[in-house]
Amino acid sequence: MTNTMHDTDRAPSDAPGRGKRNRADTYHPAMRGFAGRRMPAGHVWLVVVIALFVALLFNSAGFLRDAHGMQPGPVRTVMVAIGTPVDAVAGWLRLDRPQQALATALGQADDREGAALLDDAPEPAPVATAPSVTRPTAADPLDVLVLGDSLSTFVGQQMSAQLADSDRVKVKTIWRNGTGLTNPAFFNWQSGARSIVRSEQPDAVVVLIGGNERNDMSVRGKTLSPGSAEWETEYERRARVVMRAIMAEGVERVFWSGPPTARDPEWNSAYADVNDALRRAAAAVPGVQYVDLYDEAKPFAMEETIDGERVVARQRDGIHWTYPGALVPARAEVAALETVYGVLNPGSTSTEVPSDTQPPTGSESSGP
Amino acid sequence: MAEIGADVVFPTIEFAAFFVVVLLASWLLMPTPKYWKPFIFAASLAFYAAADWRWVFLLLASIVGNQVAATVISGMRAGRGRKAVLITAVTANLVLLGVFKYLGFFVDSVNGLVSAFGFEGEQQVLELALPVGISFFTFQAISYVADVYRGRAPLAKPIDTAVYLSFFPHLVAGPIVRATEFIPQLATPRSPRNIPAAPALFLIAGGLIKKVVLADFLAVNLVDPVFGSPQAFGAVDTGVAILGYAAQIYCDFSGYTDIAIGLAMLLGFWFPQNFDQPYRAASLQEFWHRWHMTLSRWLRDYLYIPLGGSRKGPRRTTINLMVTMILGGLWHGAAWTFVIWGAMHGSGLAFERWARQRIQILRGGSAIDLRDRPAPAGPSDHGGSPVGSPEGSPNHESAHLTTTTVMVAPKPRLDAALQRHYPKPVLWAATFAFVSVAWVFFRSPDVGTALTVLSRLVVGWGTAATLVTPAVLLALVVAFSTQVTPPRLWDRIAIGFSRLPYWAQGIAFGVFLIVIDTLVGQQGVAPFIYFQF
Repeated sequence: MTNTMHDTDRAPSDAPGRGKRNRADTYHPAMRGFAGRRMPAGHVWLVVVIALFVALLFNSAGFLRDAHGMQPGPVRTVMVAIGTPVDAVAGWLRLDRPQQALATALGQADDREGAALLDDAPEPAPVATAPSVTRPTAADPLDVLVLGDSLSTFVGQQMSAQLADSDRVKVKTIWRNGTGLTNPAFFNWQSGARSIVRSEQPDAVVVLIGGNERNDMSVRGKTLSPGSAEWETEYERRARVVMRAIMAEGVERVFWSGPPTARDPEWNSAYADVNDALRRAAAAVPGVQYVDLYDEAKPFAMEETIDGERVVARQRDGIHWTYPGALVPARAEVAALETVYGVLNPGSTSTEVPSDTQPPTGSESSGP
Repeated sequence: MAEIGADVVFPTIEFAAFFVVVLLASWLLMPTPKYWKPFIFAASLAFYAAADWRWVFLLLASIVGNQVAATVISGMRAGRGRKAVLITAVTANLVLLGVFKYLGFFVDSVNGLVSAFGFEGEQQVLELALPVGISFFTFQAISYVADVYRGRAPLAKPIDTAVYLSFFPHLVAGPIVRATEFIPQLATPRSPRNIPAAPALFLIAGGLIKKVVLADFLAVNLVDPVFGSPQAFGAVDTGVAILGYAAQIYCDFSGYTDIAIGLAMLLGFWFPQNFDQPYRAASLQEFWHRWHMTLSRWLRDYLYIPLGGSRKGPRRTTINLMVTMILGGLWHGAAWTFVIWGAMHGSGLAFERWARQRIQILRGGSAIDLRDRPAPAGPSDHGGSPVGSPEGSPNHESAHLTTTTVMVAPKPRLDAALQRHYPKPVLWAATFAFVSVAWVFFRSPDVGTALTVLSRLVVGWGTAATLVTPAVLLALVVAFSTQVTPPRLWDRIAIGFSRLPYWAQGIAFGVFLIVIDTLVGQQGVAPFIYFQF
């Protein structure tokens, strides 16, 4: 290296006007006066590479799962191509055992068995009729679990807010960002929903999944692309598998919704297919009710009039609801629950679903 | 359906792959600046494009526009024309920021005003996509042009300006690095011989723990439920959630900047400190010396002092404090909640100033020497500091240094007058309580929610606590323990770690990454809070 190189032992001292003050005061303390051993750049790079290689080799399942969770594209393709053989070799050598033991110790369920579950899963035995429901009371309130991808977060929170004054219902929301039925290698909703429901023991489940569903699906070696009839049929089958898995855990009712209209035409078209498939899947599983949040007749709009106030209803991605905007789907879900369980919040009039075409509903007794 | 900015999150596979390539290429090209500078600029643009490629053009426009302005300013003699160019450049930067960040807020507020006067009709809500990091690179650009105007920074080469404004470790969420701190580091290649890798790795590891273990856990299990539906929770849950948000935002933001500073160190570059155990502060003034330090010094040097600082009497000082802190609040986002947050801090700082002067009077005029050390001799064009030390303190001194202006002044000692009048624990508790209540407005989606959260502290007794679990309490204890851990302790551990051979350091860091990924599990890493600012 040339003599003109800076010595990183010291804070930069070549600023104009040097001399009046110790410039090292400017910089992070970790950069000043470190008394430990330093290393050359080549070793720094090796440290980083060794660290990542160790992490890849001994946590290959986690790497592969994260790779599957990436947006479709060349980077994901490369990462999956690297991770798949490494995971196979690491699994064969049982290098994944320490990480699995750690995951078990930390209470993180390892979903290794579910990686390909939805791809070829036989459907659980269908239930002939829907189970009976129990009318909720203050002594025996209805436990509602809201499950889904990131779309479900604000909807679940708005449902909680709407029903906060009621002693007949309790709402809990659990979500998994970036998930869907088309990418079970990232998160498998068949095993995932089953284990969550088994742990939470709700009476009714509200499911809101579908925001990420523009992936290809692979079925017995054949790749199905979004927009095709085969893709829609396969999506319907996977939805039925998950619906039956949830019902098999003793849930009284499942209320299932897909994504809303989207600003982007390609996403919007995919969401229309998802909702069509979900409608058919729900009709085939007793106890499951499809709640339509995709209003085909109403074009996408960032803003909406809710209770007489003009609000930004969608986030900047043109898909997610904002917190105020999530009031409309939350009310739709509560209304669907009430068709089965009766009035859940006697003091509230908030379950009417307002829209641009309806007059303001006036004051509410609940909700922020 | 990626989250906004999710592609530029540090703890991802994508970023790890990107960094491995960039780190190698950067050190290989470092001896030849004519290759290294275009390379790191291109790499930074590629990093930024991962969020949205269209925003790259915005960044390029900012670089070109500000470099042209700085060139014109440096070529002109002092006078009105030079000042006009500066005002034009600053205005252009603020317009750029305003269009993307504040137009919707402005239109919304006008709509509200129109409705309040009884005019009804179809109102428009304007919502533009906010480019990630625009607040950070715009503030850096303003500081560069202003420093060239003031003679504190020389005109940089165009490629140096481009690297300075776009350098990927600080591009998205800071720290706000000044031209005088960064551009001199580009003058000659960084030495590849003596890199303090151990403290850099410790900063990255600490940042990951703060972000993905503590901040995300507290958000999901405590803070988000309470702020999402405050009526559903009682006083205990609400109170702990307010504490939880204070811990969450510290861990989230300081975690990000720790990672950014560590990554820059591995590349051979040095960044300023951004957090210094802020919840140890026993006054608001001290808090702002410890919290988001690079923003507070920016507000001091480019807003408060130009407004007149404390030079124009007590009333004007109070106004300047309020203006500075309200604008500081608005910098975080276009919402009334941020205005209230800023106004609370502005009025709190003004109250502290008044209380200090009041105590001085009660104790007999100027008997109390508030200075940490003697003020420098000579004429002063200082303005004091809105968020720093009183006049005469080191911070005050820094205001009138020229090209050697110190960006982060040494921490002030606890305000002497207040400390002599009240026990330090009382001052600390009052400061922490005030900061935590202010965070309620910062976190809430609207003012109504903030007031509901605060009201639950009063009316929510009798509702059983459901969120205060042992795991949540443990996370809070760990998060707040970072405020009292002696920095020397980490230094010693880092020194010990640095003595391991490089391959052992790599294996140890790899094991650490596995533990972190296992802790995160299938939940994924949430975007950093400050990405939205």
